[in-house]
Amino acid sequence: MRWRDVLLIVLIVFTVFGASLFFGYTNLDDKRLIVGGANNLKSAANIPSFFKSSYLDFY
Amino acid sequence: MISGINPLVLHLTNILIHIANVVLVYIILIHFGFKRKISMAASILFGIYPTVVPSVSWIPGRNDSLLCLFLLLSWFALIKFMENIQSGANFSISLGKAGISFLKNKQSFATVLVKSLILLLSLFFYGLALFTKETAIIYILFLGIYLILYSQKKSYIEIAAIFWGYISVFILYGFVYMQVMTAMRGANWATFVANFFDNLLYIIPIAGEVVIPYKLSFLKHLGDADFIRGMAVWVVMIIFFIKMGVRDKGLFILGFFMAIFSFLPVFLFLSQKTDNDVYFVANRYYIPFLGVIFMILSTKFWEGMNKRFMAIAVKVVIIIIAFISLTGSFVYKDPVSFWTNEAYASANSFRTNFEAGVMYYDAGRYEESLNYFKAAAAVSPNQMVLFHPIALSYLQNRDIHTAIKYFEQEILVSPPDSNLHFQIGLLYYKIHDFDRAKFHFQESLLINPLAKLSNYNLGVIALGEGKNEEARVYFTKELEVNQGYQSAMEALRKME
Repeated sequence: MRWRDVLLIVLIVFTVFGASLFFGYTNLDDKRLIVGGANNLKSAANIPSFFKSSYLDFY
Repeated sequence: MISGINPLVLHLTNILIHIANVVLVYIILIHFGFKRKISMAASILFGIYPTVVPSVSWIPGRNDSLLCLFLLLSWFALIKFMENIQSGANFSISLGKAGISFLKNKQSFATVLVKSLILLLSLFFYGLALFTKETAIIYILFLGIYLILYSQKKSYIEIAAIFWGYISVFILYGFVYMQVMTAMRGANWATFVANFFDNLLYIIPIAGEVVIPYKLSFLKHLGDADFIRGMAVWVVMIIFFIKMGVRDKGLFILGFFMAIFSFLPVFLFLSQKTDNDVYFVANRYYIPFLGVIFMILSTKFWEGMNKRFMAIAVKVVIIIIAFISLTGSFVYKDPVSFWTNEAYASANSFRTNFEAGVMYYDAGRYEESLNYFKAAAAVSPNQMVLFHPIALSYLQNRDIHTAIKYFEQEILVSPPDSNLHFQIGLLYYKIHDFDRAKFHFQESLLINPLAKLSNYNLGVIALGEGKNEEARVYFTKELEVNQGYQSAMEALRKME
């Protein structure tokens, strides 16, 4: 393994996906989970509640 | 959440998870004995192929890339552990035997500890994989297969001793899962078997999407499944593997497992009869595609090729694929481009067309929104949720007559709605159909006698018809439910 190889791999992958950094939400799941759940996501104390509440109405 | 709701940091973590996976694939391939350049080419191909775009550019797509990260970390730690014990004097340095080994072979405690820690790390990452996504339950078999295939000094008891660690993590996960989840408790083996055979056919189009990722979607309707592309991929792959011959059977089996068995949990738990639109979820193709790469690498495809030709060909292919993926990633730029693609990839789905219509409406592009609502109506004409947005789109396109037609259809199928009658009354008033306007304002008041402005508008119509007394009654009633309403007070003052 060479670090130069790793660097090149990282660079190529980032070149392809770097533009994604400036993308927004798509309104499929993401907005509901992240924007809709923003209050719950603020504190680590809420983590146990994630396991007890419905996820996208599947469970 | 560190970033708040700013999507930039979320997209950045998606990219970082993916980069970590690509680097891990490179390292694992080096450990499997592949040359640097082949490992690089394969990992870059995995890193930039259009199949992985949904998992990287769509924020929730990370559930598969993150699962892959924990799986690869767990696998890599296991590879390192196996390397260590195979290069050592004694095979039996599994977690359970670490103490005995320490005493018997007089190895330094630090050596035993480090080797045990590597295995513990592997178990820890497998645990994280399980808590990332339930699909990870299937990968305990993947790690087991690796253990059996790549243990040079085979002793099934010792393999079982190592594997027991994974089983322990699995049992612990199962216990937590059953404490938290309730939905799966009703499932039984008969359901799983029935679902499996129900779904088996769909492995054909799914394989097509994994290898030729054209028209990927997250809500693909079964009617949009491309069986021809799927069949073509299966036939070409089978001919390829027969013709090329497999050099590393172990890697082929592991790749095949990743490519096919990753879908097994979905095939067991879901049924096409009850869970339509759940099969072709583009981010689920991430790990299966990695499996396909391992399968191709396991063949003799690379042997005997002209090195210079290969070097040029690989570079050209990488540039073309990078360009396709870069342009393809812009599908995830915003809701409009995302849902346009969903509706394109899954034209037979009511939801994709409907949501595309909503997104165009929100963006103020009413003509396009109308087209998508019409497409949704063509798929499923009796969806009552459609009438209102179609009517609104016509309204925005200044076609009041057609808008009224759809609002009237909505009235027929929706529960009594005072406000809807009021809105229709206003539209009839606008086109000077005062009789119908009166009817709807009155209906609005019948449903809700306290509805504001209906009395006032009835008063205005009465005034226009020269029925001053009737108008006075309506304006007075308006002031009873809408105290201090200036226009009603003004109208009454003028009548005095």
